[in-house]
Amino acid sequence: MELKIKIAKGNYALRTFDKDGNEIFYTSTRIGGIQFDKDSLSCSIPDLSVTYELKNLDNGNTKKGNVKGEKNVSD
Amino acid sequence: MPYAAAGLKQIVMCDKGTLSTTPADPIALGIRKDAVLTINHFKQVEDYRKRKHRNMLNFKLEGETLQPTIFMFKKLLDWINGNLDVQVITQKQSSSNQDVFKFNSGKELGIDFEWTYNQDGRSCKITLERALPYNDAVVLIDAADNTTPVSFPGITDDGTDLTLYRGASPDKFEKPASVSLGSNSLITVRSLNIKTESKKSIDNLSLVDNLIITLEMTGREASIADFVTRLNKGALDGVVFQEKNSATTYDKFDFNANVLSQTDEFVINDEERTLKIVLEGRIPIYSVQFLYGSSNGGDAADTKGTTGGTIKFGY
Repeated sequence: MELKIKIAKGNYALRTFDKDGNEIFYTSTRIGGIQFDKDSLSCSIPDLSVTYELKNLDNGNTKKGNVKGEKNVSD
Repeated sequence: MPYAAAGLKQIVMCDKGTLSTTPADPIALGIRKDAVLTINHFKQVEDYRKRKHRNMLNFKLEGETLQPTIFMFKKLLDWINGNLDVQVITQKQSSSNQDVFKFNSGKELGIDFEWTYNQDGRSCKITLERALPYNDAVVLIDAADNTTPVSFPGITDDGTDLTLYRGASPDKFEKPASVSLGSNSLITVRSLNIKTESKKSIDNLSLVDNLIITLEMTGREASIADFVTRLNKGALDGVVFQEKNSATTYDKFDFNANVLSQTDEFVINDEERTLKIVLEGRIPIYSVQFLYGSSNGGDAADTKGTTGGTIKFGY
């Protein structure tokens, strides 16, 4: 599915986790896995993803949330 | 660009599939000699213009721990053929950040090891290696500077555990069992070496089939009678090699008859007169048994072999 998170453009690392909390996906802006569109980022993530963690690689700030709570194309 | 500080701080292995949840049976290299993590290209493809093109990236982690235990020996055998998770933490790269490499979830490493007990101490050199497809490798590397490390209960920040560090403490060297090969005070060389024998998979992961065993003793008990006694021993007798861990605990390596062959050397020169014995053989990895508890070298409450134990080969 496509995950969209409203956030300012920057350098980020994105992880997603399954229902058991196991990390099942990783990507980052450094390796070209995250796209930006106006005020949000978008990324294709595994369908089994339940939660996510978005880390700002410049300042270390981390945003966590539920995949379903974000705007994504499956909603 | 910031300066990148050298060094590996913590290397911990645990059961496969448990690093991301509750690490099972974690073991740190802890007190160790040198350790090195090397990442380089693997099987690059050279074209007609001699240009080398990307293929896979190889990860190789080598370290020699000075905290070997019977428990570690058991786990190393359990973990062969990519059956373990590994976490490697570098020294801090700033006041608060460090790099963390996690080899799990389909990126498990193959394992080889070399176990050595001799007069210079006890150690186990562990080599963990695997080549990953280029894109998978880049993801693993990219994640290293923004990953939260897993904490292991009972393991310090660099894995140091003085209760597991033991120096040389010769106890028994017998062939056959209960028949000593010589007095410890007259021995000049005494060693046990056990290492894996493996083949590589297509992704450079070691597939272990056997253990290569070599025991050696050289001593100054070298009279003609001593030499004749040595030559009259059974060619394939059982062997016992034992090191003390404490007054009541020990690590015992018990080799069944027909496991180790015997080679002898008698030397008289102007400096010394010695009798040397080399016991060697190869044994399949599943012909190894572990015994614990007070009658087998460990503490009565120790069910894993941390305090001591017995390894039986070829029974």
